[in-house]
Amino acid sequence: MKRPLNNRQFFVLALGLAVLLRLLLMPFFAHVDLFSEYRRVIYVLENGLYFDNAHRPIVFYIEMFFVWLSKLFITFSDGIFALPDPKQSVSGLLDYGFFLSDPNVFRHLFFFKLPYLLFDIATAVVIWRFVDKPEHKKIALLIWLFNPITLFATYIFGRFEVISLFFLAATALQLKQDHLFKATLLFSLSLLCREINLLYTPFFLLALIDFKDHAVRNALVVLASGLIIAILYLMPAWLMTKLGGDLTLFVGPNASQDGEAFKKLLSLGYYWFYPVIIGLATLAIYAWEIGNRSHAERYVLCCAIALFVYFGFNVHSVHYTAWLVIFPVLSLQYGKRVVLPFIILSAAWIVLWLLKTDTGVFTLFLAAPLSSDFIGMGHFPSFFQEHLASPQLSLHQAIQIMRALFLVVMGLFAYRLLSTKQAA
Amino acid sequence: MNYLPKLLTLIACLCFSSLSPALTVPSYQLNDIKALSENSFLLIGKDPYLSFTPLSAGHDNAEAKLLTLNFQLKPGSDAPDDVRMELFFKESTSQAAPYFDSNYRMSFSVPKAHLNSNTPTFTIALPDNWPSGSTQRLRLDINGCAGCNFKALSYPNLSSRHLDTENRVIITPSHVFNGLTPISPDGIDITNNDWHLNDLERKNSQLTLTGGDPFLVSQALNIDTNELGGVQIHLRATPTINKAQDFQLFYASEKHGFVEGASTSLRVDPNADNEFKFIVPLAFLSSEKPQVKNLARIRLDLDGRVNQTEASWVIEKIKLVHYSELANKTHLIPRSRITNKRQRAHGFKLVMKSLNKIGSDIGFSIAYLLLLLTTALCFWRSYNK
Repeated sequence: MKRPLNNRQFFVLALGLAVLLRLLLMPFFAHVDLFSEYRRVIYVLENGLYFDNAHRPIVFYIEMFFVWLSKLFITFSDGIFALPDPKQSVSGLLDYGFFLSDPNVFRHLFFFKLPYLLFDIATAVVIWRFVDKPEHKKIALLIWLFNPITLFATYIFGRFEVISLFFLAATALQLKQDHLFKATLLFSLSLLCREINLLYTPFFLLALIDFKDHAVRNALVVLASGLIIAILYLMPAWLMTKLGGDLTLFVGPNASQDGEAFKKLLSLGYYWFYPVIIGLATLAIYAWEIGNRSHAERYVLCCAIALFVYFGFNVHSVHYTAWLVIFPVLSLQYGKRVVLPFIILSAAWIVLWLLKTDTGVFTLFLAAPLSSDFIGMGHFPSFFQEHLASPQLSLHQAIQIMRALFLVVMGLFAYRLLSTKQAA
Repeated sequence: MNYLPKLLTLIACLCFSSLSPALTVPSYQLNDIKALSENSFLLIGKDPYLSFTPLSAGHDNAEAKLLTLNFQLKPGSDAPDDVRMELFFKESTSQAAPYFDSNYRMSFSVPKAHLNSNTPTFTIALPDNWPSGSTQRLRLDINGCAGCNFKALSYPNLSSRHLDTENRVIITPSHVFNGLTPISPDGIDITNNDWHLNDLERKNSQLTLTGGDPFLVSQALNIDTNELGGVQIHLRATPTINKAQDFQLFYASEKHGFVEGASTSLRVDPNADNEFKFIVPLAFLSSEKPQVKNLARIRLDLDGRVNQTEASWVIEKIKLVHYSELANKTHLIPRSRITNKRQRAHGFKLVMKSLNKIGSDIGFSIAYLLLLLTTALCFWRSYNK
């Protein structure tokens, strides 16, 4: 009779398989965004303009460090990585095509994704330490290591979301251990990785309140944390300007258009703005109401639900869904039943993005480094239009149905997290 | 006796039919040309041409390579100083309707003054391997002369090369397209004067950029793609450019003109002498389905980025290279290259192509396999501890 795996064996086996899977994916897939990102990094390194870009600086400096390190193994050809105009740093198809056709494309992709692999594994370790119950620990680890969403976002699409998710998970671990100052520092660092993390700030600050403690002390804690977050968030830009940096290095001519989009957002022009604001406000009340629970539980549950509200009404880009993964995984610590919602989320995400994909998501570029001939494969929407669409169900209608189902999945997730019924 | 008239009639018919070729009246088949009288024509449409079977003077047809035309331009016709003509000399048998193969034609110009004279006769030599024969039709296009009025003073006729040509006005064709030219092992040079220029100005041997879309178009090449290797390009920029440059080579064939889907984009680094010397492979053309048989023309787009408008280019050499030469010059094929093909690999061929690409970075491939093995071993040992 075989003995069941102990915790250590389970962890090593799961991690070993996960690392091998990641290593197998890393060199062979990419999206044009990865190339654009590293072209900027290499431009900064080669021109010594270290203080001219305050956009997501933590991620940028981590990537820069790894590129500097990888110079021992790879040569960055001028012909491929040259950025003639940093104001137009988003790669065009021709430049990306040259990158893909380069014989060294695989080693480039491998080294570019190396920092993501390290932060991905580090996040797995944090999750393993965060969740106490052995059964929940294992489920949480398996979901993190083998869910298709983060695998796709990180190793196929090639985006850096896991760096931000690592800091958010580490924040939760510090809150669990009642290290509020360290948690504040880590949370601040996460803000320098992804702007969306600002969404969690009110819930993080609310989670710092200890309702058994004196109101003045709580006020001081929240105020001090808020101040640290604000300073750390604003400091890179301020410091770089003081060091003589020109923060408009990669700011393109379309920046004014982005400004217009922001004004539109403030004037509540987006259809999703009202429900999101209402949802988040209600969530803040809930965060106050569950004040008797631990710092970490309030932080994890509220941040997870904040994202459910957000993604209920927006789907944005295919890899952004990776943001959704970390907090529900951590919620397993509190016995939340999230396995079924995760399975449904993965299925809904795949179907939605098969339908909503453009030529840049699932087919045109992703397999391209392997062989440019994959470009000729076409993509699912054209297959849908040709074989499945009918007057009753157009592609647009199918996308709308899937978006509605996505909202339902978010609802299911939220219900499971709010429910007091515990997982076995 | 009742049969006698019928018998005589039959004999008369047989005699007449045997004589009929000699009695055939020479005639023209006209397109966009109005016949004003038996031998007088008015050019009226966009594509005026006349087709005819030239008279042969009874000598050996294999020797009959000189075509004599005798068209007089009537006074008052608004013709240009040089009347452009095109002679198609191969009638396709594969088409149901009369059709002349555009791969077999010659272009020439005849001075207006000569056509206006009282002796407008001129002679043009047909190619050596012209498939002559008594039934071989020819087609003469008269271009850029709408409204011109011609009179055929005599019917076109063929004569032998061996005849005395001293008194003839011989017109030399500007271009002769005599089917597809097979590429020789030494390749085919495209001379510098054969290029049509866009957003480029020729000053001595230099091409100066005058706009944002600089490109060169070759004259008609009509190269058989069967043993074609590619196009070797050797350019030099003045002042020297020491950065990689983008180029795009388009090719026109019998199936299409210059289209994005039939082009190769390249990013080429300058060599040690700051020259741009590279090969654009076109060997795949002959394996496309349906096969591209004719490399009709090529077009080379230069890098037209704004900050380089001061640059001038010198064409050191542009040459079509044989397939066998390609293998010896793989170092000249740029690694940054995007080739648009009509057919893409699939199935086993695609897998092999992908494996080849992975294998092209052999250092990484070996290190990568070792990394996978080492990682697996490390985790396995840790698991068994």
